[in-house]
Amino acid sequence: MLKATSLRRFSWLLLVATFVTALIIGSVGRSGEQSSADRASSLASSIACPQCSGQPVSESNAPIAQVIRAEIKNQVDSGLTDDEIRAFYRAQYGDWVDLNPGNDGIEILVWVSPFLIASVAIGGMILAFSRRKDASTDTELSDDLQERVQELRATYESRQSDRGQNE
Amino acid sequence: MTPFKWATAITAVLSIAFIVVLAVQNQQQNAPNFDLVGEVAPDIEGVSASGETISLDEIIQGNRSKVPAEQTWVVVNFFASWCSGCIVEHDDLLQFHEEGVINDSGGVCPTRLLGVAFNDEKAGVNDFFAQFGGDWPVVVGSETNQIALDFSVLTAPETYLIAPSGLIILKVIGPVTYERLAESISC
Repeated sequence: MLKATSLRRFSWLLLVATFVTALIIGSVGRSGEQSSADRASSLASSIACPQCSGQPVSESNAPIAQVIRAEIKNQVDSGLTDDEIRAFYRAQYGDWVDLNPGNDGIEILVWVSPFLIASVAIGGMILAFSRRKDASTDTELSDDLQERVQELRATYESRQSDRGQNE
Repeated sequence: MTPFKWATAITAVLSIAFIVVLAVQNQQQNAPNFDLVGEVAPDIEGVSASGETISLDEIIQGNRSKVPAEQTWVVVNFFASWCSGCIVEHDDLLQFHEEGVINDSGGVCPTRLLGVAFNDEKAGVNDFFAQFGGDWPVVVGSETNQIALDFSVLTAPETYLIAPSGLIILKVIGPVTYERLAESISC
């Protein structure tokens, strides 16, 4: 039978393995080659319509949204990268039309914060659980101590049985 | 404080920071972009509804061999047949196209009016001109999308006045008037 600590270690290992597997499956699933139409559609859903209220051009029927949608398709077909296309619309209408947060300045927090939050939360939990474990009596006894416990238990039980006979 | 409480506090602070960044980043402005005013105008290359080849760069380059009084000012008007503001401004554009701009000495400043169809088809452009008059060239076709984006157009009508040097000196959002154009041109 597995000891309690081994079982606990196995649980942690299983948790880490599940997490890593999920990450791998997630990243492999996204790395596939996108078609031009998929790229254009993805860009259109992350570039705001300059004339609308917070709508991406993919969801707006405003004339400028129709123009941008058509032009994104041309730009993708002509071999421009996603970054170049985004940069073009930022230059023409302002940074706000790029609905994807940037990776510099304060906006980098958007990318970093989830990892920081998860690290701090997991770290804190591990620390808290390890302290609780130290404070608890659920520890492995050395062979000597186990022998001593058994001796004490035997002595206690023999005393109990002696007392019972005397009564 | 126990580590658990520390972790909870730090996580809470980071979460709030995360939400604040999401809330304030790239707030929508919807303001027209006037950055182009004072800059060199993007080139306009295309074919008009009547089949004429249009090149803004050619007009600007042509100015270099002329004396200032003979250099051409260009008005670029983004319009569409579906746009009510375009009907409102059309008489003023007709006046500009037919009369031009008179300078202090009574001469006529050389000007050229170019239309660019904004999210519109050649048939719509032809119908519009047949109904409201005018015969200035209007660029049509797939190139018009790129031209409109190069000029940071938001919607029609939008009008740009380009000095003989090629610099944009005026951007008008909405219907333009003859007076607004005339007062900005000097020769």
